[in-house]
Amino acid sequence: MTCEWSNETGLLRILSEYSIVTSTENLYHYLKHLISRYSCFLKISNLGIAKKTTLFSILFVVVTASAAVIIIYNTTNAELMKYALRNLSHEVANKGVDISGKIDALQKEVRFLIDTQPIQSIIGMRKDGRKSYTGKSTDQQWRRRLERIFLSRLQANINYLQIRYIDVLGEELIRVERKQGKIYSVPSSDLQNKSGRPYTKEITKLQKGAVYLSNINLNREHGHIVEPHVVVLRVATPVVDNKGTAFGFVIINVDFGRQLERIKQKYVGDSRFLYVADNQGSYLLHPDPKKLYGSDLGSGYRIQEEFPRVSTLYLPQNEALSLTALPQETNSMATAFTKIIYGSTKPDQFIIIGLAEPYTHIVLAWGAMLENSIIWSLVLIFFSGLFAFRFSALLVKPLEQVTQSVDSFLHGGSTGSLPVSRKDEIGILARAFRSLMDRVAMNQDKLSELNLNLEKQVDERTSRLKEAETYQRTILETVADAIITIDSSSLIRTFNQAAEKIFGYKAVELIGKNVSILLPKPEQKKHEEYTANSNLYQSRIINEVRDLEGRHKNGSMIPLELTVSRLQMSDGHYGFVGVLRDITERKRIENLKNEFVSTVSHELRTPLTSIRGALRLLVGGKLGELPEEANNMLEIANNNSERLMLLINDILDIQKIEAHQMVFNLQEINVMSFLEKAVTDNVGYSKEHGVDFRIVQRLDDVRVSVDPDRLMQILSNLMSNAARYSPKDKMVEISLTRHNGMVRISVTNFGPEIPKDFQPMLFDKFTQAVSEEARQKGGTGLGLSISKALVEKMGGLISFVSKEGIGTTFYIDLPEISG
Amino acid sequence: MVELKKILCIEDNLDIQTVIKVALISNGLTVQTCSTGVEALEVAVPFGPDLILLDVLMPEMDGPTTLKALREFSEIKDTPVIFMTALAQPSEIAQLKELGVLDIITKPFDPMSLADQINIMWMGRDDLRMVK
Repeated sequence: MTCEWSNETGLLRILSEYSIVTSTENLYHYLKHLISRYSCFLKISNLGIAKKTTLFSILFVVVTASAAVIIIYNTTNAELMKYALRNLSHEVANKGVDISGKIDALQKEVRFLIDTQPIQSIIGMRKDGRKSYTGKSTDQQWRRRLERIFLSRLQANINYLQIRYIDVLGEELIRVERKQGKIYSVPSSDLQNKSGRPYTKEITKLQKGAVYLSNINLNREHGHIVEPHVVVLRVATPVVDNKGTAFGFVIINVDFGRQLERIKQKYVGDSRFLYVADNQGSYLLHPDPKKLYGSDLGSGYRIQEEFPRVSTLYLPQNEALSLTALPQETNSMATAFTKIIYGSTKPDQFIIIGLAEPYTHIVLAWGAMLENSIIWSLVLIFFSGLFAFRFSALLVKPLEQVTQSVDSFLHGGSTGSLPVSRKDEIGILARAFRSLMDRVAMNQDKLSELNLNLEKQVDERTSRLKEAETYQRTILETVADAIITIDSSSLIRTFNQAAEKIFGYKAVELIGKNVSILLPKPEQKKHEEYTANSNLYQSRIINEVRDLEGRHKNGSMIPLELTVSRLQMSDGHYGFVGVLRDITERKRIENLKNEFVSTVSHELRTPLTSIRGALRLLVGGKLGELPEEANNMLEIANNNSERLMLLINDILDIQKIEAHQMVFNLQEINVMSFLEKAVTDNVGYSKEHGVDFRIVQRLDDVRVSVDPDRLMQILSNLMSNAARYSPKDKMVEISLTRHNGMVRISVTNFGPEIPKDFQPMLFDKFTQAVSEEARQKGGTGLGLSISKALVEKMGGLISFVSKEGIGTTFYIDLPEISG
Repeated sequence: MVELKKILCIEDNLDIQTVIKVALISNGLTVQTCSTGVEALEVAVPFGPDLILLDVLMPEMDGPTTLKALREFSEIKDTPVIFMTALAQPSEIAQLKELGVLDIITKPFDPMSLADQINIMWMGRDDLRMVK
């Protein structure tokens, strides 16, 4: 079987199958069957809200209704029986009252008849002694009148069979009867003598006003039971005069059976059974005609046998007049019996009336009602289910609408129609969704706009980047300098065309190899040191121009000028970009120049040594006195040879520094002692310029690492300058202090300010404030330039302060050796 | 203390030779001059100098070679020698000193104070000898 739930059809199918349920037992089984059959639908999570709601509504109604039905069924069954029984006993009592009433009416009737005029007249005549019926005419008249009364009574009362007037001798005087529906008076000739009948004697013995009631039994004529059977009750009362003399009695035969029939018709439907039995238990009324008149007909059927409990009512000592019995089994009946004692003087004159209703009938009525209820319930369930489905669909529809909207929105469609105008929660939800979607849409627009802008920017940047890259690549490939990038592990990353030309390698041969392949052995060692102690050495090599030798692929050495820059690599480490310039040509020219300068200087110096020596000997008077003019000339020649010597010395120094041929023999020295020695050694300048070198500030135990000869050269230069530009007889102050964590040597004179314009160029080569003055003062114009180079080569700094009226101070700052 | 009297000066530059000669003679010293190392080897022993002034840079036989050759003569093997050089580099000077000379006079020298300078060095020769 398929488990599809096609909208209402599934529901309808269930409901239509429901409608065949007729009992609670079946209902239970059917529910079980349904649950097993449609169990796949109970995977409720797969269903929509509408279906869930519907299913739950139906289930709820069914379960509650079933429970209610079962409870009601169980509790009301007993009540129902009780009620039915009460109803029966009530009815049976009613019947009893009815019958009693009828009997009472008969008693009144018979009393009424004896009080009528004709009977009184007859009594009167009999008293007068007219024992014979001589006065026939008058007697006949009265008899006729009575006859007419009797006939009218008979006519008026269809139950009456016979009214008779019987005298004390048992002679029937008047007999009016009904036969085959006709009423007629029996002629005198046909009148009978009833003196032999037991009731005649009985009635004549009765007091005036007393009423005789016969047993109720089948009518007999001449001792035989009359066919068809007629159940007869005889009511009689004696005719007695005031003195108590009996004259006879009036007797009415009543068709009691007919009476009973009428009662039966009046009360009893198809479902109930009326039983009437006489004081013997013989049935006067029974649904089954065969069981009637058990004692009269000798068949022996008795009520005590059919309803054994009734026998208690037949016990003389039992005063109870009614009896009810619940059905013992489902095929038995509920019964109610009542005992009606109609003979007021004789307690044994009674009849038993019983009413019975089969159990099944009682229950059937209830069952029908139950069935009705179930059918109506199912109809209601169906409609309420339908309603629930429609209603939940109504509720869910806007939700679905919202869901579809969101779904279609998610898949890039439009939001569609949303139930935003609703005033309930769904409306709120829809509005919230709408505003959310609006915002999302807005943001999407913004985003796409941004994206577009971004793309444009990216394009722009990319093209710019490409341009820049092309530019850089072009530069990289056309530049004459070798540009090599290495990573933190000294592996070559890039190698440009110029590098290929310089080193003779192809880029592909070297990329990924260690850069040391390009270095000669000593440089390799240095490079390893640099990379091993990168932090220590980086400051020395980064952005510093350095000369070194590279190794060509063919093993020859190439003089190179190297500039290294640090580069942040994409892997987070530092790499280095080395720009290497082939300085072979420059070196060659430099060497030529240096050689030239050196040669020239040496070649100049040698003859100058002789000239200067000769002149000094002459000026010094070693060769005797000369004329004054000759002496003046010699003085000029001597001074200039002196100056020339200094100049040549300085040029040689400069040449050495520039050719990196200056060798520094670093030693640790005590600065204070060194200054004292400098003052002593340079005492010649103080004498020459008439000044006094004096140490004014001291620091003991301060040590620096320097080349002592070079430091002395620097100090001599500064002190000679100070002396040269100091006013005569003034002091040149020398002090040793600490400044910015360095050792500071200061040389101060109190001369004029160095001209402001000249100050920035003070350390340049061949600069002197006023050349004429300088010439007079002596000096080469190279001293400060050399001093600066030397101080810096030893890791120090040189600076000065010059102010008019205060003087000029030169500072040498050197790194102190701690400890 | 023995007084410094006789000085042998070996200097290829005749002008400088003359200046040295004049500077020293004017201070009362006896000076014999040679222009080459070869010449010096001939003159040195006969002259018997108290001190030898030896130029470092000379054609053919340079100062150190001449020094070595002179030391071959037993007569003058202990005679103090003073190098005269234009080389001013400390390393060069140190190298020269290793050759066992009394001292080094750097050129250009002051002829006026040359005799005093040499005399001071001469005074210090005992220290050298003691060190030796």
